[in-house]
Amino acid sequence: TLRLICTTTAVQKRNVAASGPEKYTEAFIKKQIEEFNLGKRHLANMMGEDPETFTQEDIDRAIAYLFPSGLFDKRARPLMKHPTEVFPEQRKIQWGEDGRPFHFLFYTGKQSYYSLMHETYEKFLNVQKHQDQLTAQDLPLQKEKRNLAGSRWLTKIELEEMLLEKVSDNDYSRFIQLLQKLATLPCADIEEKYIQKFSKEVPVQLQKVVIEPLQHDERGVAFSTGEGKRKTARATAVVYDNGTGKITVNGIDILHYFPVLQDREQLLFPFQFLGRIGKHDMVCTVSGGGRSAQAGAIRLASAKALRSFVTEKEVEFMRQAGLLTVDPRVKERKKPGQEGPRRKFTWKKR
Amino acid sequence: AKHTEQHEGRLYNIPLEEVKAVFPHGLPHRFQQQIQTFNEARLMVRRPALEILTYLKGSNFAHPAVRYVIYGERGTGKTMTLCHVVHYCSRQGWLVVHVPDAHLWVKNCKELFQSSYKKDRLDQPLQASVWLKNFKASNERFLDEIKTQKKYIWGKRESTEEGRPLREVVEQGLARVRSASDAVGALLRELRLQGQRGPRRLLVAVDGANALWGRTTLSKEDKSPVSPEELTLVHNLRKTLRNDWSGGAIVTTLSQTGSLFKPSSAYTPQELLGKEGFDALDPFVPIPVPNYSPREFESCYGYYLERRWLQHEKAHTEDGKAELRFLSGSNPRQLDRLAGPL
Repeated sequence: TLRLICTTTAVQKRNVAASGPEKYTEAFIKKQIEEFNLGKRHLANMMGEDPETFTQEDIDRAIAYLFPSGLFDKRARPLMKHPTEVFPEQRKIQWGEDGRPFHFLFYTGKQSYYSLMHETYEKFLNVQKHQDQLTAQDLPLQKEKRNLAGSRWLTKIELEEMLLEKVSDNDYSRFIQLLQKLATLPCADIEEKYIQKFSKEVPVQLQKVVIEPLQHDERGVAFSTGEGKRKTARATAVVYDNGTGKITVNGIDILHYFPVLQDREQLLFPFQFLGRIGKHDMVCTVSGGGRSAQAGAIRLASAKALRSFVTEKEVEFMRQAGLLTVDPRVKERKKPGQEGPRRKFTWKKR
Repeated sequence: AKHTEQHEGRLYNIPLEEVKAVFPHGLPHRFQQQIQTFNEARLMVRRPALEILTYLKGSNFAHPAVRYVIYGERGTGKTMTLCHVVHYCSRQGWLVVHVPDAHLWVKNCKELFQSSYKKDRLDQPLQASVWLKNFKASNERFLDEIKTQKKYIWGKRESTEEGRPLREVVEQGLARVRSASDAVGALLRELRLQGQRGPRRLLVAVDGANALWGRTTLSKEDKSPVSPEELTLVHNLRKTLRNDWSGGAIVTTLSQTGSLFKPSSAYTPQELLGKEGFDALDPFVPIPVPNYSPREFESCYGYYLERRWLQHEKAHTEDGKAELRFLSGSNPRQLDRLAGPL
């Protein structure tokens, strides 16, 4: 039985003070959840689909269809999600009616952090005890290495979200050190589940670029295709083997399509780099952009097509030479209050 | 110089004095600069020129003159082919009427006078006198041989009687600038008649023949446009290019660079000459001039190397040669411009 120490008014006052950070009461959130479910069923009815099997993806699609918006920021567009995702998690009131806090570490200030540290250290001691037992029994220590390379620890922000309270940098680093110590112990696989709560899989970093094999024409000539773009110009190139070095763009010879020497030099560069000037024929199609952009786009497309003809080392050389990267430079947007993207209006003193 | 097909792709030399004598006004500007730099004139023997020469050698001069039209893309060597043929003919001893660029006669003319001979025609004294001077320089030896057939009256006091040497006509034109165009007309007429009777063959070489049938940029004093027929020079030249005389040959070139009001991608005779011109020149032998063949390219490259024209170290390697070939697309003019700064 709880002993009511203080009067009800004092308790209510303290409760009111604590409800400052708590903007959403539990009743409010429950109501939001009911409304959300009802709305979901209504939406499913509207779209003509089954209300029982209406997933979040379907909701997103329906909303995007019913309320199309041209805003660039995805977070600014109309949204319908489960209230737990929309409203951030709240700390419920930590103490009861008599003012006694529920948790024993409440008065440390960072109760969840210290409780977490205690728990982790308990697991740590557990593992050490298990290890001692195994060495006493002379059993081989199991070593199944966790894949440390494919996972990472939680970031400070993620830890804060988990614990619902602020974590300082020092505290965070101490926690991570403890976790690492625990993970490096040989018998740590007992506590595997616990550790997995605090680690995340890192997605595959490098998408290995697949080099397409050569395709063969009807006459038996090997060829390969490549696509390239530069600043609104898109180009596709088909490079044939056993050629004389003739290049055709949109059905027109390069001498006529690119009367300027600079553009032709751009086209020449991939072949010159690999030393295969007279060996390949090329047929390309290009659209959009201007003269120089089209030349750059064809250069990228031909370099990509040439990858199939060439060894991996040379592909690496090409990549380092910058032949395979898309040029990110695009026309910069004009800002209001300025005449151009960077140029300001003429400054007059008076 | 006698050339057969074995010489294709090689370059042959023309001594400098002959150059001045035969081509006072005929060679393209860049080629003249090259002559000055290298101190010699080297012309490449190419297939189209050889074709024309074989036809000329084999043609029967009793028939009306055969017309050859040289055409091709920009910068492939049409004017040079023409000069080659002209040189050959002058070596053989033919009479040569060489018009370097007919486009000069239909544009950018400062003075236009009404002709005294016919009322509605217009004269161009400047260009006519320039041309007469060059004609005199190139055909010195023949001016005395040919005699006039008709009496020409140049104005109130001067006139030329029958049977006088052509030299007098030419000098009359040079002295009296006003009647220079009429002098040109008279000259052409005489030469045509001459070709029919006399032992001398006549070669009419016109560069930029499409100027004769297109439009002009000139206008009369009341700002109305002038059609080419109203110009005396053009009219006389057209008469010459008609097929009604025998004992010679006509070689013409079509050039897009100087032509007026024609798109830059047009290079076939039909497009550049227009309907009128095509009909007027109708039975002709077309001779296309392509870009350099690999052999010709190599010989040109070798010539530049030999003359130390290519200074860049990389230009001497195989790769450099492949690059030049790629970048110029085997076009002679492009190759020339590329090799310039190197």
